[in-house]
Amino acid sequence: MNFLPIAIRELQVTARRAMTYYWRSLCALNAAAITLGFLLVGFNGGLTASTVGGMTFQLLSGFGYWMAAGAAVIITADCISEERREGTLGFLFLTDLNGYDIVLGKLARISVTVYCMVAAFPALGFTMLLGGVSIGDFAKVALSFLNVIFFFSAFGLLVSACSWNVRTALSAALAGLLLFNAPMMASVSGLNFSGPWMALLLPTPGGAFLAALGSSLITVSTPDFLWSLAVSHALGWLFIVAASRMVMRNFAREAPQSAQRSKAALGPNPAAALYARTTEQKPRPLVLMMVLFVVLIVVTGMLINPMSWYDIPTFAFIVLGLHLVMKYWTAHAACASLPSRRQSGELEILLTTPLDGDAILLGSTTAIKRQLFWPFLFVVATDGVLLILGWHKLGLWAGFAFAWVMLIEFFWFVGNLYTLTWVGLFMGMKYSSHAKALGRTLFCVLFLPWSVLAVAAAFVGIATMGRNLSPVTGVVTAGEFLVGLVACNLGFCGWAVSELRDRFRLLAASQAEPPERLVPPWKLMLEKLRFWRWKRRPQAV
Amino acid sequence: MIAAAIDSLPQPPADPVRVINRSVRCFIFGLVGAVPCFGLGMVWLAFKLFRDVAAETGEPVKLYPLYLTSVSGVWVAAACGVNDLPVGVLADAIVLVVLQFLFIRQQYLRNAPTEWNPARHLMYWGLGLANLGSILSALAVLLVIYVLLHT
Repeated sequence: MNFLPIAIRELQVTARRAMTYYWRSLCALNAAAITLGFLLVGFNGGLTASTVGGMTFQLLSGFGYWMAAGAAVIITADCISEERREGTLGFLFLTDLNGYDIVLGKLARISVTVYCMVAAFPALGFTMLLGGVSIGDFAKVALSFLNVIFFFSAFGLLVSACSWNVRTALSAALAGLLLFNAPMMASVSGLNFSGPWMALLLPTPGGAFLAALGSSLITVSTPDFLWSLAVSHALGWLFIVAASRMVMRNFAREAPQSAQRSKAALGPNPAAALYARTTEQKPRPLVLMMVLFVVLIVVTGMLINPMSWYDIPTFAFIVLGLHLVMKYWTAHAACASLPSRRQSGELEILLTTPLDGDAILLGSTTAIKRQLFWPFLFVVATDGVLLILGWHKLGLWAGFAFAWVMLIEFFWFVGNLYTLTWVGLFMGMKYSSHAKALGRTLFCVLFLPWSVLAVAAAFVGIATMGRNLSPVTGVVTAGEFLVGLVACNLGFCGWAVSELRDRFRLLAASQAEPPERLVPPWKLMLEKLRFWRWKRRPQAV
Repeated sequence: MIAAAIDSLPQPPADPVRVINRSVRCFIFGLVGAVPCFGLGMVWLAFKLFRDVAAETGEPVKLYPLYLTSVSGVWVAAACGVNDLPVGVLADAIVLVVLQFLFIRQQYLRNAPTEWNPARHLMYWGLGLANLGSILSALAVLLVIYVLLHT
């Protein structure tokens, strides 16, 4: 038998997938756009070359850190539990495979993240030419990125090895992501980690990352780079060993029974009732979690700055954090709603009844609305309270700007929720893996507008060649971002609604998306030109 | 042999409800897509739906003159903008919109779908509005560049 056969298979599958190359190109494009934007702004003369280099380096590094950590956790959080749910994990143990074979094989799934990261390295390395960044800084950050990917993948695998339910696995993995990054965030916010408190920062990959950026972040308390890297890496291996043991131990254990259906969940729409049967969650835990989140931010703010914690930055953290949690839960609920019905065969039964696709979609959206109504109400109430407090704090006239920003943020939030619901429903039907569907949904709706912003900034920089930058340029860039935001939300929402309404039965029938064939774009264009030339059209199957 | 036999099989008739729904949706997407820049996503969807519905009802459509005139019109507008001729940009935009309206109308009158589609006019309205939105978006981008270069 080959060494690590599952890892080899996963790597081969990844190498043959078209999306691997598209993702890599997108990452390189974004990194290049951000670098180019800053570079051209530097030509303006407002910033020195070394300042531009340092700023670009920090921004790209921070962006890359969160992308790497988030992608690693989302990709690995459901990979073993998915096999367990489908009953294929037991089959693997009929062969000569061991627990570590499976866990390391699943670890190979993060190769896409590594490829993307490596594609962004040249743009990061370009900042060295500008000055302000040494080759040592670059090497340290590159090393800490690889460590971040490894650490959070190992943690995701451990969570996946202990879970049955996709919802639990993803939530636990993301909670772990926040927990392990909390010391880093607190340190960046200004909390002083000295003496025994450094033990909180040392074993996290965020500590090593901060230490790698140490020369440019002199005001932030950081641990020793090598120590932090070694300890967090060792912790990652511990997670791998624990995951291997858990896989061997738990593969044959039955899944815990889900809660019984409550009578209150039954609605007039049978699809909504079916959906609510197993996935309905009581809103109280989510609301309590949000309250805890608010308290955590307030306490952190008080620790960092006891004198002036009651200010706009604290309010902004609360609002943005709550909105992000709510968006994540909406995408989560939408991605899980229809595939779980399809997996259990209930969707097939529903489709044999006189109900059409629209009624089933209506049922699913109604159930999602019911499920998230109370958390949504809590978020809206918190927004309202913070708006009043902020206005009171800033005064009558200065508070108007704050109120406008809050209003725009609120509309963006509501629009995002709506789009996330539809895109989540569609992605859930399109992809067999819940984690993949969730990742694509969050990428399309939440990440892509920021990518558009990066490209827009580069575009403005190129158009003006970095000269004569004025407040008008800032307004234009902000306008471009707003346009990108609305265009992305509208476009993806319309696309998802259109696809779901047109191809609902087809999507419900297909169990998994076949691997995409890599067709270069120029071949597609040539193909189209050929059909135009000969007045032929491809036959629809 | 088998592939040829499958190719020669008559296509199943299009589902009229589905075709009408998609035509109406094409119109709605076109309407939203007419908003410059903000509706660019919808423009793409309206074009896609138009092509899909036309293929489904067996309607022979040729959209490349539309694309060619759009691209050339935007180039002319850009050239006028570079030479500080705002009247030229305006005239070019008006000529472009009128030409394309006439072209779409001609297509609507000449083409004959093999399947009956009672919402066919909505489909064409959607196409026209989406096309208008794409031209307005291009002009808006040119305007932004013009403003940036002159401040």
